[in-house]
Amino acid sequence: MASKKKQTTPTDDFSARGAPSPPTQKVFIQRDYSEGTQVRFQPKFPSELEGKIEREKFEYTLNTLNEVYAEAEKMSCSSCCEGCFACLTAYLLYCCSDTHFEKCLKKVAKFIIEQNERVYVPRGLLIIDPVERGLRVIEICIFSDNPASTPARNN
Amino acid sequence: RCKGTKVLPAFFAWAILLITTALFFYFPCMWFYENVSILIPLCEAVVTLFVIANFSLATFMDAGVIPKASPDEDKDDDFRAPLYKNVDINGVTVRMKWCVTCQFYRPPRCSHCSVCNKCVETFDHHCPWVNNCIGRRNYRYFFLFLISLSLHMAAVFSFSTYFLIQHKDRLTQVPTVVSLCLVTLVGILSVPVFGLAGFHVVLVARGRT
Repeated sequence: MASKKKQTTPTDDFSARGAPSPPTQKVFIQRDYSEGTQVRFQPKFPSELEGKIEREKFEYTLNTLNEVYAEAEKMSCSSCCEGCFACLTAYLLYCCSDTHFEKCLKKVAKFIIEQNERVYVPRGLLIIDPVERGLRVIEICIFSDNPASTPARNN
Repeated sequence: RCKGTKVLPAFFAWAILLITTALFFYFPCMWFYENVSILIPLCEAVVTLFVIANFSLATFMDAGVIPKASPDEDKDDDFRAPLYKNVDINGVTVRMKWCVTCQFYRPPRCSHCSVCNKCVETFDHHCPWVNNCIGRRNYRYFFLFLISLSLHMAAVFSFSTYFLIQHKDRLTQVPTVVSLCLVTLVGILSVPVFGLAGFHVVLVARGRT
């Protein structure tokens, strides 16, 4: 029932996320309020990522994230029923199961881990889950060229 | 930091709620169970459960606090970021204010609570009786707490008054005295509680929480 957000600074523990060293640069994708106050991030490709990642891959990541957040905030019959049922059980339902929104946040977390593993970390980038910043910004860390990501060269 | 004084109103609120409810169940309610119907204590128990559940969640649920931004987020070369940043929402220009404490531009409908010293999403107010901010994540519990509490107080008041009328020839007995106290206390407290509940009903109806 209480907030499940971590209390430590989000940017400190890079080794746990599969990154070898602190980032050289950070890009912040801001919220897109043009269509309302719902959670949505600007799908515009940032100039700092030019040459580091293909535009389509980045757009795919952003669009998928936006879709999941839209689904999280959507008012549907099932989410209404879940709320009513939770109220009727004196909220004991929340001890056994997550809310629809929390389930979507978990989906986002899984998706970001998968994208980092497959797409971003091999290109020297790392996406930080926006939930760590209160859903205000998506942080993308840029790491300088490191020996781990490039094959060993014999001069 | 005198944290003790912050908890005091919440402590009193819980104490008054639990003590009056307990007295109600032990004295007038027992008579209703024996002489009228078991439904009355049963319904009252359900309402009490609702009050306590919503009160607890309004107290312990995080209101929607946005964590403070870490220093690496500020990419402005200027020493100070401009105080306001304009953003277009559905064609309407909205001003977002820079929060000096939290180091970010406050999202729309977000406000900084000076008691908790944090920015809260869709901030309503800081409630001392609940010792928590009321914001996006816990507003529904606070609202339902007000509604169920109003219902509970109305029930306690009505049943205690009925009990008093039925026992007006035995005014010196303990149950009757307790009922009289309940009627008086609940009657007085119902003014602010019903008032606040009504106010929030209007806010919700107009979509202006």
